[in-house]
Amino acid sequence: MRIEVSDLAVRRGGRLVLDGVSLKVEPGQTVALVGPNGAGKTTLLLAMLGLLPAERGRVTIDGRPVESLSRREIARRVAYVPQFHEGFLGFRVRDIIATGRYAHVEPLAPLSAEDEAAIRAAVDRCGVREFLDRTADTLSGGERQKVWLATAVAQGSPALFLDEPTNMLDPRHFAELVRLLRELAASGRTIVVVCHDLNLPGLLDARVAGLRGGRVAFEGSTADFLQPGRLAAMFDAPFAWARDERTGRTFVYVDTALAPGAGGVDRACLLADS
Amino acid sequence: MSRVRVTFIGLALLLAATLAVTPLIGWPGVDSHRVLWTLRVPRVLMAVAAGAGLAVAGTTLQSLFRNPLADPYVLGVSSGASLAAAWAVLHGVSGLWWGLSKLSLVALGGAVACVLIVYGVARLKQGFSTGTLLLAGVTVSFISSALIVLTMFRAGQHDIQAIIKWLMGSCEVAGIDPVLDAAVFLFPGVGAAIYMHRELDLLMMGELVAAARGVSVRRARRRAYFAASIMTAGVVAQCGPIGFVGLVIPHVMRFFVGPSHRLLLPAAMLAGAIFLPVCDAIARSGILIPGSSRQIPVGVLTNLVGGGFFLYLLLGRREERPIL
Repeated sequence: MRIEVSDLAVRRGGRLVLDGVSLKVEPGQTVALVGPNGAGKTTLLLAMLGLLPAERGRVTIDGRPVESLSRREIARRVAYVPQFHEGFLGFRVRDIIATGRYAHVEPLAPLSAEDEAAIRAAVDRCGVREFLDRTADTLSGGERQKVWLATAVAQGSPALFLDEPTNMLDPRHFAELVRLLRELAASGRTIVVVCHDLNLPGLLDARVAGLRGGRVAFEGSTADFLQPGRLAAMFDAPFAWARDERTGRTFVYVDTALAPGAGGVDRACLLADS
Repeated sequence: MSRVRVTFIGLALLLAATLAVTPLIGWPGVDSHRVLWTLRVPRVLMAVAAGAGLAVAGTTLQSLFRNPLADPYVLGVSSGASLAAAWAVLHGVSGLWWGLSKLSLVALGGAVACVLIVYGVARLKQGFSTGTLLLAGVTVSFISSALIVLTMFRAGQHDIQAIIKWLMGSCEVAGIDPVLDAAVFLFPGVGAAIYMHRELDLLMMGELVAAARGVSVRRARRRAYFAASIMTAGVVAQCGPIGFVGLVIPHVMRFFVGPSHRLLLPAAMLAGAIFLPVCDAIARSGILIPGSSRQIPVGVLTNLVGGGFFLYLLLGRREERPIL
């Protein structure tokens, strides 16, 4: 699944949130969209899904302009896990996950054997079998996140967009999510993930696109992104670094006691080898 | 046996019993074969059709608006029909036109006009959002109510009584034709709602989620709105406004079969088809006012029974919430 954004400008509520964004996501690639609050990460994700109109520029999915595709056609290509779920949560988990097959099923037809198999595979892959007969409003935030992810996996789309999927996750659920996303990436899925956790791109071996002020301010590898001057300039915040000697990975965290660009601080890394 | 299966078997048995028993009770006066087939059976069938239609319309609208207080009358359809009916009474419109009641036709015209006005307002503003749709419906409803009062203010005593009788709602019909007229609107409405049962599930889960799964949200909203509106218009044109059926029945059935529309829509349809003819039978039987032969309006009973049951459900539901 190749997604290309060219000179995209999007206005929301009268404000130009994106102004000339260009980005290429190649098939099988994992791309992390990072940047300060209000940089336009979620807006970019929604525009890539054709859910926000472009004031200028264009988005193509496998060479076809996103606005020329129906919602069903887009859903068959890209599954999306939003940042918030504001809807009614009284549905059983099995019914929620089955909605992932909406784009593949005729309106009055029952789910086919293929649909059932996709649902079963998603349930097992995301570890939600134990919740199937519970309603979503009885689950914890982390459990719900697994259910949304299972629904997106059941959708069977070659690309997966996630908006801040690690919000509200405890370390165990965080580790499970990272493992799952790495598995999905290894199986050839194209993944675009919006994240505030600056260590997540490294854990996913993702290419990083850094947004600031509605423009792409950085594009490159995680290693290049996690440079002292770059982070401080992008986020206007002081960062410190820790290196996990076992994996060789560098981790970054905000330390208000330090000036921007200071480094070499030791820190236990809970998820170093996940 | 699962709770869902028990519910559907129970509803089917209750509907069969309703159809068998209600034509036989609560009918003072002449008792003949002709009366049975020209008054009793059509009235019961009208109540069955109206109850089913209002319940499905209410279910559809509660999902469209993701609002438990939405009912078929929130869109101004009912008050539009009532205003048109009041106008027709004031101007002496009566009798039949091609076998159809002129009063019902005018009421239908009023309902359709309101549907189009609300749709037009919602479409002009922010691309047919549910919030605008709801506000436009409520506004049209208030304006219509004010104009009904104005119409009654201008009317004579006899006309006022006729308008009030219409506003109270009734399943009383003569012959099978009004039932068939209502069915012309109910079949496509119910069919459309069932056709989009998966879209209604997803709209309940949130519009962003629905769009992500492949629902064309704007088109789904429009379909759900028109499906609910034509069902309501078909019922109101024949029966006048009968409250609470479309509000309460979806909640009660959600309690028994859950929120998934694959089960909820048929369950609500069956329950509405039982609830209204039973209320109508009780209302006309006179058992609520001992010693009186007058029938009380069925809307009074639906409101009393529906409201009471609704309160029972609300108070009986256990919720673990923070103490604020």
